Amino acid sequence: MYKSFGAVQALKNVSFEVAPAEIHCLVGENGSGKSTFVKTVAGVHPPDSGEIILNGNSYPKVNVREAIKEGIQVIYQDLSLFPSMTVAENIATNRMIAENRRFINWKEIREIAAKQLERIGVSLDLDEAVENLSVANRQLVAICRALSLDAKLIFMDEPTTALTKTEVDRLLNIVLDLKSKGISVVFISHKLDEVMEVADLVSIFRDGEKVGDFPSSEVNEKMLVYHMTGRKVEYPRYNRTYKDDTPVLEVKNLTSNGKYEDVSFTVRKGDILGLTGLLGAGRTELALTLFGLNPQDSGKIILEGKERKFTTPYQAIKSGISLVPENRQTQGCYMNKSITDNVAAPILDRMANGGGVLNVNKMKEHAEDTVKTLRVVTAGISTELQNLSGGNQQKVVLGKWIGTNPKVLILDSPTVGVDVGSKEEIYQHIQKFAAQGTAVILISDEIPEILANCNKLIVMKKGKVVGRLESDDLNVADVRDRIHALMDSN
Amino acid sequence: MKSNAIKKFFSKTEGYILLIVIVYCIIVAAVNPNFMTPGNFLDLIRSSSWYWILGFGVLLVLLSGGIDVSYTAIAICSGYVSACVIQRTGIENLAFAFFIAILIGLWFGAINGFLIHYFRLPTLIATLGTKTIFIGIMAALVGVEAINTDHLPAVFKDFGLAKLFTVPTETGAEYGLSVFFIPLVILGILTWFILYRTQIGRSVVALGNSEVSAERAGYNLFKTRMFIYMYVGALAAVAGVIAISDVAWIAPLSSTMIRGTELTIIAALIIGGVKLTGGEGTVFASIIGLLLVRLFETTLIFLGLTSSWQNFFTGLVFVASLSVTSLQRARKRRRMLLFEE
Amino acid sequence: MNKKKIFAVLMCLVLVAVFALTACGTPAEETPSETPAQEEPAQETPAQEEPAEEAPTAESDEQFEIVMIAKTEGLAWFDAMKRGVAEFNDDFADVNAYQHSPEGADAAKQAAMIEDYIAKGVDAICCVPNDPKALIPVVQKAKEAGIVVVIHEGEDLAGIADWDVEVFDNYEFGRVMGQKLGEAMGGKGKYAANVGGLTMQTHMQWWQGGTDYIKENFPDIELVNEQPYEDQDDAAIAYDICKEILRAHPDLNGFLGCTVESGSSMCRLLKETNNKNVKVSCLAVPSALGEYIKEGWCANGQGNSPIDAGYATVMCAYKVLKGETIEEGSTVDLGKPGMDNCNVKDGVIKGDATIIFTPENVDQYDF
Ligand SMILES: Nc1ncnc2c1ncn2[C@@H]1O[C@H](COP(=O)(O)OP(=O)(O)OP(=O)(O)O)[C@@H](O)[C@H]1O
Ligand SMILES: [Mg+2]
Repeated sequence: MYKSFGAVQALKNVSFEVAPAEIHCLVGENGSGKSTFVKTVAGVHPPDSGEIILNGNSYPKVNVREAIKEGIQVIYQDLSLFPSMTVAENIATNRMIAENRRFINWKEIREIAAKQLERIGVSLDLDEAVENLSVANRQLVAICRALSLDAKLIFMDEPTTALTKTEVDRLLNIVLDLKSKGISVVFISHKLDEVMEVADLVSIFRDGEKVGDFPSSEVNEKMLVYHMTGRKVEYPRYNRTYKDDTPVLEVKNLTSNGKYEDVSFTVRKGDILGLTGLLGAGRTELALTLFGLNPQDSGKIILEGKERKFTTPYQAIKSGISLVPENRQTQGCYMNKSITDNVAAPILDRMANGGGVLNVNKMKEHAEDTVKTLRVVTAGISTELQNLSGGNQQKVVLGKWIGTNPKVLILDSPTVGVDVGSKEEIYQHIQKFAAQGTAVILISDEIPEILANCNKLIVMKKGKVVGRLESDDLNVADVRDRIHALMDSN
Repeated sequence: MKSNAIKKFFSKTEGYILLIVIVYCIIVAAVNPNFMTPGNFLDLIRSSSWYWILGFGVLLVLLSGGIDVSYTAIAICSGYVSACVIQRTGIENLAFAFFIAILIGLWFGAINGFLIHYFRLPTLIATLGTKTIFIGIMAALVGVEAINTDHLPAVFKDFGLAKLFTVPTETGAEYGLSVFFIPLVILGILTWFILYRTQIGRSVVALGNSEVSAERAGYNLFKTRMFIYMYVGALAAVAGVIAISDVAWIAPLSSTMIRGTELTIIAALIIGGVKLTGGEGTVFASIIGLLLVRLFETTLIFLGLTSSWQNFFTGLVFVASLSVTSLQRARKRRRMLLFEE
Repeated sequence: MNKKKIFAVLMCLVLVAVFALTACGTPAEETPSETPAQEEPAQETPAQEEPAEEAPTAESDEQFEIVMIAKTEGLAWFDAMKRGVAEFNDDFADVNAYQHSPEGADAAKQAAMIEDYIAKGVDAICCVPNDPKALIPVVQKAKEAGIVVVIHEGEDLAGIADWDVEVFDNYEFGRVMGQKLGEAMGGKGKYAANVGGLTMQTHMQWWQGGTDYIKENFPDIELVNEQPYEDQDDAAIAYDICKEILRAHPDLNGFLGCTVESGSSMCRLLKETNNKNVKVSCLAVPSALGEYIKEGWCANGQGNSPIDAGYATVMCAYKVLKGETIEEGSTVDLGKPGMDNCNVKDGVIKGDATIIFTPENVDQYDF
């Protein structure tokens, strides 16, 4: 199969086979063509050339409905939900269409939805509109939707990016369960540990080409990484060397009713403070408070010795706090604007000549810089964000906020959907930043990420701080187990 | 439980607008007691029935994320051609009149749906174009001469005068509930049924939510679009026949009857709480929004005001309603810590 | 699937049949009157060439092109006027006269049309202005371009245009309307009045005449609206307004309608609600009010013939083009009953062509 978008050759001579009851994982760097492959098979994009054979029926190209009829279901990377429809309807829709229903039975829709949600072990309000859900919950809805149907083959394009360990484990169990029922799953993820846990076969994509298929018993993470990137990837370990110990940001007994309570911590220049915890821990809410988007109910925020209370992000940015938000799709960037416009957005005043006229060359320079330092895979800086692969969008968002040169940089899950190779680079950037004296708060679910970057860690659970680890604690061998124990504790 | 449901209702735009309607009625009644008569309200139903019927069609278009400005032209063309056909063939039969009109409405609607689907035209642009095309077709094939009351086929006139029941007033005049009420109720229920109980109806809402998602979910969007615009066409045709019967007169080119109301109706629906960008809106919202705008249109004489005030009121409520809705939404989402859009 | 296809084909055929039916069924006598106006620019060329082919006579090597711009297209009144213009066109071989109006009674559109015809270089422009004052600049421009301009029903343009043709004295016409209303109401009660628009001079003169007469002669009759309601000569608006008037004033006894639309709307509403308390005295055309006049819903319908008015206006332009002098203070014959002995004064040519429609005579008129 071949597929190109203008000058970008997204798929080159890809042949791919899925056997019944097989868990086939697909890995590759950002922009290597994984999502494009899925979309082509599912009928969203017509391939330039090639053949798609589903259940023995050959198609030069399929359309979405044919693919569904052949038993294909997809959890798209962007989820493709209906924002103002309810959770129940979103989950049941695909089944209703596939069964070619003429009339709608709302009771049945709710039953289907309730059953699926129970299956993955979460409870959501069936009548809530999807647009009012958090990203993680949206992802769960999309998963339920794909499961609601007795498909033959389910593509899961990075379904776990926003999920924390409990839900991921649950999902992986379901995947194994599906396999035992004879259903095949193509699983795409950048979290290689997940991949290794369930895969029968792992295929690796690189620059739109398939590098090869490997039975999971014959490979390990290191090998996968090597085949994906063509080099060895080693996460750098951060050590604080900064001498000035005066606190930049102090948080004292901060409480936001119903979201988190009684959180205190201090960050100094050069600190990278980790914040971790399961879904509903209150980490993101805390970050939003610091950024002026979720006013606190009590407690204090002290920035450089002065007590502050932010009610708008503008105030926060002015005082030197930047936030890379969790959901890049909708919060962090303008999907239909170019890379140049996106990275220039938060620092427009610096991009302007006297008199407020934007200096286009300066903007372009800045964009070129960002693209180069963060290794964004793109045809050029004028590409619209929506045409970048998921991981590359994330890199642009990161570049956008790093460009603001903040005193405190809050990163909420900055490497979600980013491939291992680029993660390494992003870590290097974060650490360079901290070494230069920025205080960084890193919110993350990934223990390796935290261990690589943080010199302090706070573990949260259901809105409360349940554990604090200093840099010495983080260097001991069994630290992973300790963190997990804290998260599972009561 | 019950009070909770009421609270929920009034927190929605429809609820607000209903309150405004009630308050406005009280104000008008206070200024001019003649307003609060049964005859008055029966008359409002009668003269607004075709607005509502057009509104149901527009609701579908708005839900699907489109904007149609050609439906009024469809209403005029189909109604006028139907009247001409009956005038010239002498087949004085109401069902036949509706049949001809709906047939033309369906065809014009199909043209809209086809253009919008196959040429990926923005709905507003497409319908701006077809609007003039429809009038052009009619002018070229049938003509544009006004049909005065005397020459209008009796079926239309009789239909316009027929009533389900009448109530005499003390002055000897009698007011009644027009038969227009029957198609109005039927089409209201039908629209509701389509939107909430059928797959095609859900596909309309899905399309308005996200075209990409709808396509990926496996909806046949060609079918959906054809359905939307043909349904609008058919409703417009019914509304056209009713409007002609109501006024007992038609001048297809010069009249402001129906023509020129397209944006008013869209605005009214948005006032009621239908989302301009698609995906959200109810039948009740369209009824209540249009009711308010119709009240503005028909009560100026009661208040002793000139007609420019109507535009002022409509504009005011339009802006206020939009602001309130979006503020409410922003507040709710802020409470849930969602900051998109 | 197959059934669906057959159904679709069937529907196609029916649609074609519908259009075929209506297109062929267009009454024969209407077609000629319509053609010159609708396809006017294309039609001119052959018409102008005609005289050249015929044996040249002293006069016919010049053909006068006269355009009549009425208030709007698609109203029965102006459709009838179009017939008068067409009649004139047929009566005079050396004239190419046709009517062409804007879509919708809009002064700006009218001005734009006049500009177009100045550019086109017609010999004379006749116009029934929507808002006479708004046309002053273009009329001046037309005059400067050497084009003859004759206005119908727009005294504000008298002296600026060549002539203003009035079929009767407007104030007097209004007084008659008022008198008839007062008599029908039995000299007491409340009445409402309506005009097309406050800028429509003729309507305002009628309204003035009517209300003055009632004020002077029927002290017990009260006018409910100091400022007349406006319906823009539009039946839909008129219908809504009348409905509201009846609802807001349930004790109304009379209605003075200075537009045909308001008169017929009011009558229809009275008939609909079986309301015999309200007497209507209004401007009338038989095609709109004939039925109501015969059934008694309209107490008094009065008017003039738009056919004759159109004819006479074009006739006036023709006379100017031919170089006939029309002198102030004299009288002139514009060729139609009531217009055969018009007074010429201050740039206005005024006839006396009022028609009172009665149940007995209303059937004679076909406009
Ligand atoms: N609609 C599009 N228009 C133009 N280019 C596109 C489009 N979709 C994808 N591309 C390009 O095709 C390439 C492959 O993208 P794809 O989304 O398949 O990557 P991916 O492997 O899924 O990456 P990620 O891990 O970041 O999701 C990228 O270079 C991307 O910029
Ligand atoms: Mg992808």
